[in-house]
Amino acid sequence: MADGQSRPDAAQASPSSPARVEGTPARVETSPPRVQGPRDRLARAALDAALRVEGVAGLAPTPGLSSLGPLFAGVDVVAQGRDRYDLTLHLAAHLVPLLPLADAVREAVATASRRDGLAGELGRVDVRFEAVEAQR
Amino acid sequence: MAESTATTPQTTGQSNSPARRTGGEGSPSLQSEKGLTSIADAVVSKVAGIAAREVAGVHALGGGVGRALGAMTQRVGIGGDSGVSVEVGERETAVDLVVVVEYGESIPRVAEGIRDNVTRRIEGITGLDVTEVNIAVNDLWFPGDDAQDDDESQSRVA
Repeated sequence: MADGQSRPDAAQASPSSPARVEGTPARVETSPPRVQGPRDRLARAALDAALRVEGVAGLAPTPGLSSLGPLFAGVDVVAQGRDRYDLTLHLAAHLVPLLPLADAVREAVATASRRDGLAGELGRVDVRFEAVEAQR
Repeated sequence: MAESTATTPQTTGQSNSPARRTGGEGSPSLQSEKGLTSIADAVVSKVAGIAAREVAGVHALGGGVGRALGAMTQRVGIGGDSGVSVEVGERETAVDLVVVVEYGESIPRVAEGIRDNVTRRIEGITGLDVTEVNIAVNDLWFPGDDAQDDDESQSRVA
C-alpha cells in the first residue's frame, strides 16, 4: 500500500499530522485526535487498557511492524473478515511473571472493548513481550 | 587470563541440545484460545543476566572485550547483555553465560548457584522451561584489579 489514502482508517488515525492542502490556512488542533473506524478504536482501546495493567512498563514498538502508523506503534491489527480483528500487542514489562501478566492484559483489553461496544470486533489478542525493565 | 573454563552443563532435558527441541509437558501454556503469548530473546537474556549477577562470587558477565563493548553499546541503547546468549523455543530455553568470578570463591559452587538462580528466575518470570545453563568462567577478579587498571590508564595518559 504505497499511499495512505486507500486505507481510510489509517488516514483518520493520524489527524495530528494532517495532509496540508495548498491554499488552506493552517489550523490549530484544540481537541484530541479523533479516531473513528472500529479498527482504530479497537487499537486505541487495547493500548490504553494494556498500559493500565500493573506490571506493564510500556509499549515496545517494533519498527516496520505496526500496521496503523506511528499513532498506534506497539499494536498490530489484522483484519480477519466480518469486522473482526486480531491484535498483537508489543509490550515492555517489569520483572514479574509474564504469563499471568499476558492474561491480565487480555482481560483488560476484552473489558475495554466491551465498554466501547467493540466486543464483537475483537478477535485474538496476542501478547509479545519485547523487553523487561527492572523496577526502580 | 583469557582462558575460560566451561563447567559441566546441568540439563533437565534428554537430548544433547535440549533448547533446540520444542514441546515439554507440564510447562505453562503460552497458547490459549484467547491468544498467544510470546517472549523475545532479549527478555530471557536480560532476566538471565540479572539472575547471574545476583549470585555471590560473580563479579561480572562477559569477557574483557565483551564487557567494554557491552558497556558502550548499552550506553547508546543498542546493546544486549554482554556475556549472555540465549536460545528461546516455544516452551523452552537454553542459556550460555560467560562470567568473571571473584578470586577465592569456589567456581563449582558459584556455577551451581548461577545455574539454580538463573533457572528459577527464568522459569518464574517467563514460564519457559530452562533446559540447560552453560557457564564459562572467563576470568578471575582480584580485589585490586580495578584500581590497578585505573593506575595503568592514568600513567599512560600522562
